[in-house]
Amino acid sequence: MSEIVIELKNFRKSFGSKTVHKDINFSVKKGECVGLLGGSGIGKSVLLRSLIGLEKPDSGQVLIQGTDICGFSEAELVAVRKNVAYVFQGGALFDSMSVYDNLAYPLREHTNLKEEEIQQKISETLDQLHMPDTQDLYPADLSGGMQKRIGLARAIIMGPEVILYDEPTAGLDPFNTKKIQEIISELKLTGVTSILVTHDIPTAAAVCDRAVIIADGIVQTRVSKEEMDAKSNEIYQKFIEGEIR
Amino acid sequence: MKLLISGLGSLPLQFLKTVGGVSLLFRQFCKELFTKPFYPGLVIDQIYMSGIRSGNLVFITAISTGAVMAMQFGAGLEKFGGKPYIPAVISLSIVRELGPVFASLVVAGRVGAGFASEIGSMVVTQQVDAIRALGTSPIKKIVIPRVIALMIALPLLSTIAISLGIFGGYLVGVSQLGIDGGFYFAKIVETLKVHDFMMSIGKTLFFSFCISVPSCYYGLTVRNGTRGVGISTTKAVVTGSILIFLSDFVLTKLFLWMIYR
Repeated sequence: MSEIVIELKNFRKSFGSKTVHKDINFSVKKGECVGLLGGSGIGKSVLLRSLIGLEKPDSGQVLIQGTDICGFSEAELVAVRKNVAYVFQGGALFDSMSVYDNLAYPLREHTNLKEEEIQQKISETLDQLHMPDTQDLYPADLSGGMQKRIGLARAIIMGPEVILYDEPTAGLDPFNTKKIQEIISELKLTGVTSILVTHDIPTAAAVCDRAVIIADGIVQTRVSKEEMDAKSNEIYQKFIEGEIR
Repeated sequence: MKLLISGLGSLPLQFLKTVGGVSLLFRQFCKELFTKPFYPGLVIDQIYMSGIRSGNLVFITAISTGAVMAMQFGAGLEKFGGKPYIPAVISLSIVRELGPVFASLVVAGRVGAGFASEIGSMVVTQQVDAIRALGTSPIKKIVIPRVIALMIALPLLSTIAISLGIFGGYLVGVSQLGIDGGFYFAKIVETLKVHDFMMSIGKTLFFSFCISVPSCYYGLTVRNGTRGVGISTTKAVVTGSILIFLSDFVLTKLFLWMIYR
């Protein structure tokens, strides 16, 4: 049995009087890509942010490689964040920095690489994402799709074991959507564990090994790859057809 | 009406929340100030952005304040034969009060607004989250460089502003009021003491915290998108200015007590 890398146990989270998550339980095994599906505003991103300590649950556990990170201080979370990369919905690139400096940021912070080695690594990563010749551009010079891919490049440049994707294809044209799907699939082949928050069903079906559907603050169902392909899961079917939120 | 009453009712709570938030941010600043990693490059960038780029506005304010004061005092004191006191009155008031306070108010408007809006925009576009997600501290990357930069830049700006303010007064005194240049300069040297400059630098050091820490706090706590950025920017300038005026009174009292006890 594969090792469990990520696990949420009895996760509960409220904002003011609104309870977003009542009791969420799910786990992700090493090398798996799990889709987190659900309607807008049901707190999928909140769950994802909790996995690197950007949000704290009101109660429950967030286990990363068996360790509960809920009580971790910001200093303790640094070690987790080096290993668990987060791809933000809009890229979240530092707009005062060039693409090169954005990608160099984690390398300069967490490695002792020389500038030539950093340059080499950035070139390799940009080639891997089919985006050469963008190093000197600034985020404002890039299209939305390119910003997302650079955000993804920044997340993977440290070679993390886990990648969390927050709506990586939202608002993208079919060409860029396909590019992102290809990159996620390539990363999966390297053994990276990933969670993909999305409402983009074709992308989830294309890259995820299984999916978890969340609604009303709980996990409604777990959908296997076969069920996704055959659309045989009743709740999954209703979700696709817009019958549940 | 109901909205107005509930709005007024929430004011004390808002005030306490802000005081608590700014205090916690300041505590975090002190906690992370002496721990590695350090980012001297970011401090230098901020000295340029907040200090050097504020120079023009601060210096024009200072020179015109000195010149206008000399004119006003000249017109007022001439009737009573008090013209010889003009150099002393102007230099002392500029060094002790007007120089540090005006320089700080100008910086609170320009830099405080800049800090709050820049940081607020970073929050809205998830750049602050990205700093955290990449295993770095927003306090170290955003707050510490800005606070340290202003601690260095504001006393320097204020010192140059004081010199220019006195020079503005000197120009008007000599050219418009007919005061002898040598006499004017001798009176300034005779009047000003080291403790006057210490008082001025001490005040600007304190004012730099009054501007930078609340501005960073308002920037980091932006809510509701770009509208929130505008609201936070206004709050940063208002809070910085109020804190300067309030603390100026307390600091003046404290420094005068230290000098004349």
